[in-house]
Amino acid sequence: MASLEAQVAHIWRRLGFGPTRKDINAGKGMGTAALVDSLFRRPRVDFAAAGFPPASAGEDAHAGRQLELMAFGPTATGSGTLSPAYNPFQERVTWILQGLVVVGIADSVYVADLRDHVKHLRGALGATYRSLLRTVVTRPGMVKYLTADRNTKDHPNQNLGRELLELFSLGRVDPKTGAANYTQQDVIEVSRALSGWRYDWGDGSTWFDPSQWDGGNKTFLGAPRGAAGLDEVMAAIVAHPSWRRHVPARLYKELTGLDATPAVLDALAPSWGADGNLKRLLKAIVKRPEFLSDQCLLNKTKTPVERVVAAARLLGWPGLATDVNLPWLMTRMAQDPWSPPNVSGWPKGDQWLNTTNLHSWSDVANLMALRGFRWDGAATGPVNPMVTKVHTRATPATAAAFVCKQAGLTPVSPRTLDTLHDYATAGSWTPARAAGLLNLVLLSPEFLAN
Amino acid sequence: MPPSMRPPTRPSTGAGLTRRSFLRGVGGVLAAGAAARCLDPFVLGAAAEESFGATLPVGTPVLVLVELTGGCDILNTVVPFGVPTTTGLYRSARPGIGLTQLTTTRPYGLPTPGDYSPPCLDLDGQWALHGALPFLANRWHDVGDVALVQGTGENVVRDMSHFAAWAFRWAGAFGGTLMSTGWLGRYNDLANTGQALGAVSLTGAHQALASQHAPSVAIADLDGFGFQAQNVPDRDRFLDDVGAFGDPASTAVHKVGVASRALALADQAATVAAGVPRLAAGGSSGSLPHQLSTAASLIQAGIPCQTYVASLGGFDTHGSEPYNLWERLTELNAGLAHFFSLLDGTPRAADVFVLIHSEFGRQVGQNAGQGTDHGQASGTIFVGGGVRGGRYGEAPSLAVADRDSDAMVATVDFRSVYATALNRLGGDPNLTDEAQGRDESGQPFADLGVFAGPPAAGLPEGAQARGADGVSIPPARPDVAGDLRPYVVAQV
Repeated sequence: MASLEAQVAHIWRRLGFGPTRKDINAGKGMGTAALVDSLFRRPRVDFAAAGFPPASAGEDAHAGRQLELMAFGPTATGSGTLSPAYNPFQERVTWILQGLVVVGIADSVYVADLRDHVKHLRGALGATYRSLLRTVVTRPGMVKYLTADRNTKDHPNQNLGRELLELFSLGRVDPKTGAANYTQQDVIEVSRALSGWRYDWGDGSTWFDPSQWDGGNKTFLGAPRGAAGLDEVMAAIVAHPSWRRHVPARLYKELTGLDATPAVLDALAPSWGADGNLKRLLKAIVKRPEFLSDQCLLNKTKTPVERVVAAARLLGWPGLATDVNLPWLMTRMAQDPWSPPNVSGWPKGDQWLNTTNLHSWSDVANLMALRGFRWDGAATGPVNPMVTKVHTRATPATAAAFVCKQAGLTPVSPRTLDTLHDYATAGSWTPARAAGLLNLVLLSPEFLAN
Repeated sequence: MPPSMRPPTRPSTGAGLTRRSFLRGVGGVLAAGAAARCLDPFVLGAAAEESFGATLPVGTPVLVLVELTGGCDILNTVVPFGVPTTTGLYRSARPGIGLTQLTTTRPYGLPTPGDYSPPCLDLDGQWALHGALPFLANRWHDVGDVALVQGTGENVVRDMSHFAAWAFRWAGAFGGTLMSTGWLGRYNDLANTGQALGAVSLTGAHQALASQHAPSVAIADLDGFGFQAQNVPDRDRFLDDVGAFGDPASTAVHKVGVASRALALADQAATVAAGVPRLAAGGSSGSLPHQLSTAASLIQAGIPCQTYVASLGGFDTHGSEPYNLWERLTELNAGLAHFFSLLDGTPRAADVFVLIHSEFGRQVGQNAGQGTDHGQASGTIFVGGGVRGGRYGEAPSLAVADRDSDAMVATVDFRSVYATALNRLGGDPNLTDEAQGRDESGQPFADLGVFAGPPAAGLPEGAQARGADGVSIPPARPDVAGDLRPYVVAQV
């Protein structure tokens, strides 16, 4: 059974993006159940209050701002102080949805389109998954990303129809029974029903053109649907058995790192319901006993975004929205938050531990941890608050355990502690060595796990 | 089996000298020496031998797999220009995006700038390549080591999802335990264990290389390939400590153990790669020319690796296909031209072959966006050392009645393509059989005869290319779909 401290850190990693020492202390004081409730109850940060720059500011500025929201909240100054408006759970859910209902900057998809998409995802906890899906498939981002604006009654385009079924709602096969959920003919028929949506290149809006909609009778997902359109497609989807299994299974995997068994899916189905109640489902997942069990602790791998945000919270590093190198470095780590590689989102799991990605992370971690230092160890500018804290409050002998405690790394292997100790005691105890020690922590196996 | 390869020797750390500072000295001398001698391949091999101890013997086959992701439209890549009955069906199905011009004037050059539907490049009077592929078309005629396998795909589930289709192709299987390893990873498990760079992905972690005992390394760029540390006190000590986090035998809990093992591999791979001289990149980081130049550098240095994987995306041409396909094929052409410019005329030229494929082809008819939707049957291209040029397999029928939801139906199981490649790599059909497993009827997969030489002989009993007779196209097997469940969940 994991310690209370390990469980609190786990909650912060899975429902947010990692703890600070203050978060751990507060969580231990209130207990795990109260901590979970407090994270679920935090006031939602409206899009207007989130502080995204104007659409004209470009992709990097938006991605940087999103990382800042994940780390510090809307009023962040980079000090590492927890903003009263900080809602890590909302940021976590938004980020999960960005990898589930995927739109990315590509070809004709502009920053303004993705901004609009993210705006809807940010509000998902206050809505239902059904209404979210119904909305975003007609918004400019999705319409252009999946060429739905080129889907006409005479020449249906199957791009959106296929991904709506496969990725966003039902999945190829039922997670419980293994049965195929739809056929190619279903894809064709659903695509006919989704025809008629157009994009106005003048004002950047979408509109429905009845003259391009296929109003003929259709049959899909096992039944005649008449002259079906989008609403009939959504009704058929939510009535399908896999509606209560596919997305819940994905969200269960996101939060627990485990594959949902049929029994788990059955237990979660009522929370999801016909409309896809996101908040109720997520709470049901977190309340399950396995969420805080040894089975789940550290059973996931941090993605590059999770590494950067967790490191920023540990260090108090303020450069998430302002450091000019960060977009390049995120690209180098193959996870630019607003440019997923394809409609299925980013790679998952152990794939992030590939050799090149680890080398790239060492570059990013170094940039973050050694902020303010030059080659000879002299400080030439502001250094991260955690560097000062480690340097002034730890000694070489205590530094290894101290930095692990600050980072919420527990348990830590003797090998990792010995390695950190080796570096901490290898030379004079200076602010630069404290920064190097924090740099080393960011490359430890314990930090790379989530 | 390939000739035996000695495992790399990790330099020992002398007293007063860190392992890393020792390596930097050796690597720097080698790189400078090689550059001064104009990157002569013999020198590169000698440098590699001196640097990391193990070299791949000349004469050992090497595969460079190039994946065209998104579903390459094979019908506009290998075009039926003068095929009785087929050409008419092709043009009537594609009034807006069908390719209608042909050139026979060789040598073929790059198309006129701005012409996204350039004249096709005639191969044999019936079939032609897209005008953006002059390198392949010229090589077809002049070198004779380009093989087109037509009709490749699958008739097990006839899947038209990008993600499931790739999962099947990476695994070389449609379910069961084989789904947890890749088709190349299983080969390496049998033939190439114990190598620090025994399997290389040029495009991030790659599931085709997933194995039990032969870890693969992802190399995006040889420059900067290693752990970085600027401005830290005692930098060598710091980097040694990063290496010390890694434990190839770590049994730490969950992903902590995985991360520890990955750190060990990353450290070891960087050590080995430090001595590899870099050949000309040929393109920006991530581009296909750049990926293939990295492969060429490692190959010419004699790195003991038989399997490289590269990737070129953007083939999901639901819209604006003329421009999008032209642009993608232009990069494919540039990548291949650059790669072979680094190999041709060297001792390893006869060893190295490139296999180009996609997850599926596209539907025959065009859609409203001047594009095409997901299809089934595709094609595979072999080019390079040992390849006997020509057309193989059987082009699928374009007759409406023969299509499945407007998609061409496969005539050659893609796993027969794999068997052909593995026979070449390992030279032993029994090894191929063991690595690949059997088809849904329990039969081994046949060699398509693409390569000259002995590997095609001695096929396991019962082996046959699926549909090679043009008649025996096996029916779809929707009952196998239940086996996909582990894959689907594992992808979450």
